[in-house]
Amino acid sequence: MNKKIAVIGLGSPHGDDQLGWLLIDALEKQFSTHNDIEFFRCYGSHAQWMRSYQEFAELIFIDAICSDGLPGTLHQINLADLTGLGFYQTTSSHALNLMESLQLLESIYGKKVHATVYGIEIKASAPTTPVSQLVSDSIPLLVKIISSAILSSG
Amino acid sequence: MSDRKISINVPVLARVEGEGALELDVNNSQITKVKLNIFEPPRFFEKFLEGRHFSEVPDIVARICGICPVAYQMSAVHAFESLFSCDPGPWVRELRRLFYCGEWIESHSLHIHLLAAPDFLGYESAPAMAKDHAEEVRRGLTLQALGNDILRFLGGRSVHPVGARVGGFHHSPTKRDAHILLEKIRQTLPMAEAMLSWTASLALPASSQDFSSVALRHPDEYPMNSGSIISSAGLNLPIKDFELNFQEFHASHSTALHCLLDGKPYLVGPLARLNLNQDKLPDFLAKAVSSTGLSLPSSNMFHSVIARAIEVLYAMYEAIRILETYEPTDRPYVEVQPKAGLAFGCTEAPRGFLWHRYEVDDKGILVNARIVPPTSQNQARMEEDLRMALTDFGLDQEENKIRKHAETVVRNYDPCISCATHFLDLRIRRS
Repeated sequence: MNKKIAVIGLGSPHGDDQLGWLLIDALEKQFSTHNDIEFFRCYGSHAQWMRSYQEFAELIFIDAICSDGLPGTLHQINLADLTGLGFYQTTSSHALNLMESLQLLESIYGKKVHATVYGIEIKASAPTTPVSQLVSDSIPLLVKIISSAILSSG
Repeated sequence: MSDRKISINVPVLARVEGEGALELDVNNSQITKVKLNIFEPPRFFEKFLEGRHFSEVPDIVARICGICPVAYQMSAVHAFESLFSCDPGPWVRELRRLFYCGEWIESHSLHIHLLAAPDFLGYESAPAMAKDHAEEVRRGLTLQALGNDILRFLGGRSVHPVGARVGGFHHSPTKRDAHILLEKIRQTLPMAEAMLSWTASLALPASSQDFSSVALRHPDEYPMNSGSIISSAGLNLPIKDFELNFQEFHASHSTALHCLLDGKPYLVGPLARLNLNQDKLPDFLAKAVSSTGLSLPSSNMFHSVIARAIEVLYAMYEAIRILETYEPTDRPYVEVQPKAGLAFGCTEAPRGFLWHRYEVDDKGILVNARIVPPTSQNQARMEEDLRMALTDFGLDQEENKIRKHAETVVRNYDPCISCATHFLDLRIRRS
């Protein structure tokens, strides 16, 4: 692997929405000897990885998704395919969302970094609840799949 | 007399904090009703806290807001320590102040550069602004990341910090980490100074409204974690008497509770803090403020962006002061013994003071909780401001212009709702 990759877990401390962070915990251990991969955890703010944007050739985001899909379904979304959707208005007074953050960085640095989102379907999470058994059990397989993706992007 | 019937509907996707909806009733070109609907997360957490042990509360309330967890943790821990007669000591006190500095820096910096500045520079969005003002936007991101670094220094991580506890902190950072952070802040200081000059140079609308500023006041310092509640109308009371003087009621159009003082809206937040505590700024900073031309106290809500820049600069100098004399300790917390009673905590979140009250039994289990966040306190003031500001702006203007001006007005308060371009679902009924 000869280019720097950022792997960013998006989440919150609410139930299965912790999935992104849990996967980062596992992936960090898996890739502990890889100096060309940097791991981040985000909860609302993307500030930490944004400030190192210029160092990265690849961005991989991992997040829980709550839609009508079957829990456990893994989606792979190439963000370059989401063209023509325009500027995404933020839904928070506190931070920009992912698309806004990427658009902002492209404007500032004139550089577009390849970005992929791995989204895993979960059931809706209530505040203060722990991670469900379904999600806990799925982590090893998800780690395997995303690890392959990280290695193949190098 | 206008007989326009207008309906503006801007859909907002609310994954996190929520949505904002504004309804206006206009009769004979006069606004007869203003309803601003805000979704308010803390209200739901009050029930979750019942039955929990007090030691769990800092971790739970930190989840109320992903970007401002420190404020919720600080109001909570101070509440319990006050009830349990626990004094964690000067080491904890100073580091809690440092913790808050981090939150003010990251919250205010993001707001100034990415949310407010596009309004005042005539851009639709931060990315559009970034094409012409890349350096300023980079500065905002750098300052925001620095604030997160301070949170991580004390909280263990910048997301959902876990370092704070009742009695102090779980761990004592190393002197080496303190030195690294100190140098980082020193190197970034010129950016904060430039930011102050820049915000003061923005073309801000002229405006003057009559409102009461309310904030904490401490005899020795610019308020963060402690003080009494004061107002520009002469109020001065201990935080435990908040409920006796401030009336909270549920407005039918909003999940947020509205707060009034003596039956009237009031302002909390950076401008209110500065209006009431400018004498607590260090002399050199007071001079820097004076050189911007800003006259305090200010009744122009658009000056809030400058107030935030002042507070970022203050927080950076305060963080430097604390880190310069930092020494680790082997006792980062003191043990507490619970007792039954009412616990009161009130600290200055980036958006204004955040008041907590907990009823606790003799085992330290919460019987009930009440959390009054700054955004709900500002709700009535925002509606009052909108009524005045939109009337002055002109209600016969294009709806898109009315909506954009309304968003700019609401953004002055940096409320805990959707707060960038096109966040408002605006409905105008004209008769």
